[in-house]
Amino acid sequence: MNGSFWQVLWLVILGSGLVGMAGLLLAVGTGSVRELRQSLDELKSGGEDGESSEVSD
Amino acid sequence: MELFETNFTSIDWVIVAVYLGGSILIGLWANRYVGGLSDYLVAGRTLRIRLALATMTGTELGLVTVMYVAELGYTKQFASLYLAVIEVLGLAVIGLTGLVVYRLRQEAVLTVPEYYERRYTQSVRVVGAVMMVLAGVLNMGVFLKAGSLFLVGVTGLEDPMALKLIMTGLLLLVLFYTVLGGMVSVVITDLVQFLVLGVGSLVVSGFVLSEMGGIDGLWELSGTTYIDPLMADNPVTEAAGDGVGPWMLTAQWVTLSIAVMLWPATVSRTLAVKSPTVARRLYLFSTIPFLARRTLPALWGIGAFAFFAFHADLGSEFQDQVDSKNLSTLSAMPLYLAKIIPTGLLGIVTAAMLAAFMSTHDSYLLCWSGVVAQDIVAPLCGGLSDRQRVLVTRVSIVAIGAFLLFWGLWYEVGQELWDYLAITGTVYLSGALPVIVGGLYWKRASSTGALAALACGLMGVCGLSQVIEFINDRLFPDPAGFQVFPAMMMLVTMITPTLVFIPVSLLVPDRQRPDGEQST
Repeated sequence: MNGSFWQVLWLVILGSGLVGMAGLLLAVGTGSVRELRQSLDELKSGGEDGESSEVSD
Repeated sequence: MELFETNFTSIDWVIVAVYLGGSILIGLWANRYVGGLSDYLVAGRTLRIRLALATMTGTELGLVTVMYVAELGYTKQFASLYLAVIEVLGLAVIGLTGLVVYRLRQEAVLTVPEYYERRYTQSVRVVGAVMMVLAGVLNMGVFLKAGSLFLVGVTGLEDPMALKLIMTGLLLLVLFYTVLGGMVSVVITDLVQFLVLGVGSLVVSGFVLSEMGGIDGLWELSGTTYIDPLMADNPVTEAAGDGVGPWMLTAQWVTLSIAVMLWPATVSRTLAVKSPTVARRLYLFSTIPFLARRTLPALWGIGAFAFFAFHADLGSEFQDQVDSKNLSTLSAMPLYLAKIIPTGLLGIVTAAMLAAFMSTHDSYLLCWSGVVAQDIVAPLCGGLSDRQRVLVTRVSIVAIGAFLLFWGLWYEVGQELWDYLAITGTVYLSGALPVIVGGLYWKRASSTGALAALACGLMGVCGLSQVIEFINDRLFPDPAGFQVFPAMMMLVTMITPTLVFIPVSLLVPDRQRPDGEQST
C-alpha cells in the first residue's frame, strides 16, 4: 500500500486520540461527578432498587 | 545531557505525596457506603453511563498500558498504531450489536464463573475460576515491574532498594483502600484518577508534539520510520522479522477482539452498570478512551524514538544499556519525559501515572479476589454468608498483593511487555471464548465441552518465547526448515479450545440441563 496512505491514516488516528481524550474529559468529567453523587445516595438507601429501570443520562 | 538526567525534584515528590495521601482519605470515606456483598463487588449495580465510562477509562488506561504502548511506539513507531485500529473496531462492533455483553449483563451475575454454573455445572464454575485467576494474576504480575521502570526513568532513582520500598508502599496503599471500600472506593478513586490522568496525558502529549516540531515534524518523521504493519521487517532496525507482518497482525486481531469482549476486569465493569442497555452503550462510548490509550502513549514512544535518534550520543548510550540488559526498551519513554517536562509539571504527570498504576491495580485486585471468594472458595465450602464472602475477598486481595510483590519485583520479562500480556491473557481468553459465547448462543453447548475447552486454555503458555524455543529445539531443529513462531502459536492456542469445545459438546451432551433456561 502507498506510504502516504499510512502516513495520513496514522496521523488521523493520533489526532483522533488527542481530540477524543479532550472531548471525553469535557463530556464525561462533570456529568460523572453528578452520577457518582447519585450512586452514593442509592447505595445509602439500599443498592439495586433501580436495576430494572432504564437510566436517563 | 546525560542519559539519567531528570527534571524531577523535591517539589515533584511533594506533589506526588499529596496525591497519594488523598487516595487514603478516599478509601476511608468510601467504607461507609459498603453495606453488603453486592455493594462491595459491583457497587450495588448503581453505575450510570458517564460514571462507568470514566472509571473504565481509569482502569484500562493503566500505567502498564502506557508503558507497553509507549514501548511499541519506540520499537515499531507508527506501525504500532495498528493495535488501536483493531481495538476500536472490536469495541464498536460490540457496542453496536451488544454481542455477548448484553446477554451477559441480563444474567445479573456478579462474576463470569457464576454464569458458568448457571449455564453449565458447578465444576465448570470452579475450573473456569481457577483458570481465570491463574491467567489474571500472572498477567498482572508484571505491572509492578512496569511501574518501577517508569519511576526509575522519571525520578532518576538508581538505588534498587529505595525503588522496591516505594513500589511496596504503592501496592500497600492500593491494598488499603481496595480492601476497605471494595468497588465503591475503586469507583471513586478511578474517577479522580481518570480526571488527573486525562489532563496529565493531554499535557504530556502537548509537550511531546511541541518537542517534535508540531504536526509538520510528526508528518516528516512518519515519512522516515516504520509505518506499514503489513511489512514483517522493520526498516529502522535492519533485523529480519523485527516488525509486525500478516501473521502477527492476524494473531493480534483475534486476541484483542476477544479480549475487549471477555477480559474479566472489563466485564466486571459491565456487570456493575445499571442495565444491559447501559452495558452495550458503555462499549460503544469506550471506543474513545480505548483509542486514546492506544495512541497517546504511542505518540510518547515515537517521540522518544525521535529524541534518541536526534541526540545520537544518548541514543547509542541507551542502546548499549539495552544490549547489555541493564535497561529495556520500556525505559525509553520515561527517560525521555524526564528531560522534556519541566519541574512541577513532572510531579503532576508522575502523580497522573501513579494514578494510572493504582486505578488498574485496584480494579484487577478486586476482580480476581472476587472470583476467588465467589467462585472457588464458596462453591468448595458449600456456600458462605455475605459477610464471610467479603472477608474471603479481602483476604484474597492481600494474598494476591503479596504474590504480586514477589513476582513483580523479581521476575525478569524476557520479551516485549505486550507479548507477555497477550500470551498470559490467552490462557484465560482462549478457553472462555467458546464457553461464554457457546453458552449464550448455542443450545447444545455442554458442560463436558466447557471443561475440555477451559483445560485447553493452558496451551496458552506455548506462546511464551521459552516454550517456543524448546519446541523448535526438540521438534524442528533445522533453522532453514519449518519452525514455529510466536504469532503462529498465539493463533493455534487461541483457536484450539473452540475446536475442542464443539465436537466434545456434540459427543457428550448434558443429560439434564441444570435449570432448563439455557436455550437462547
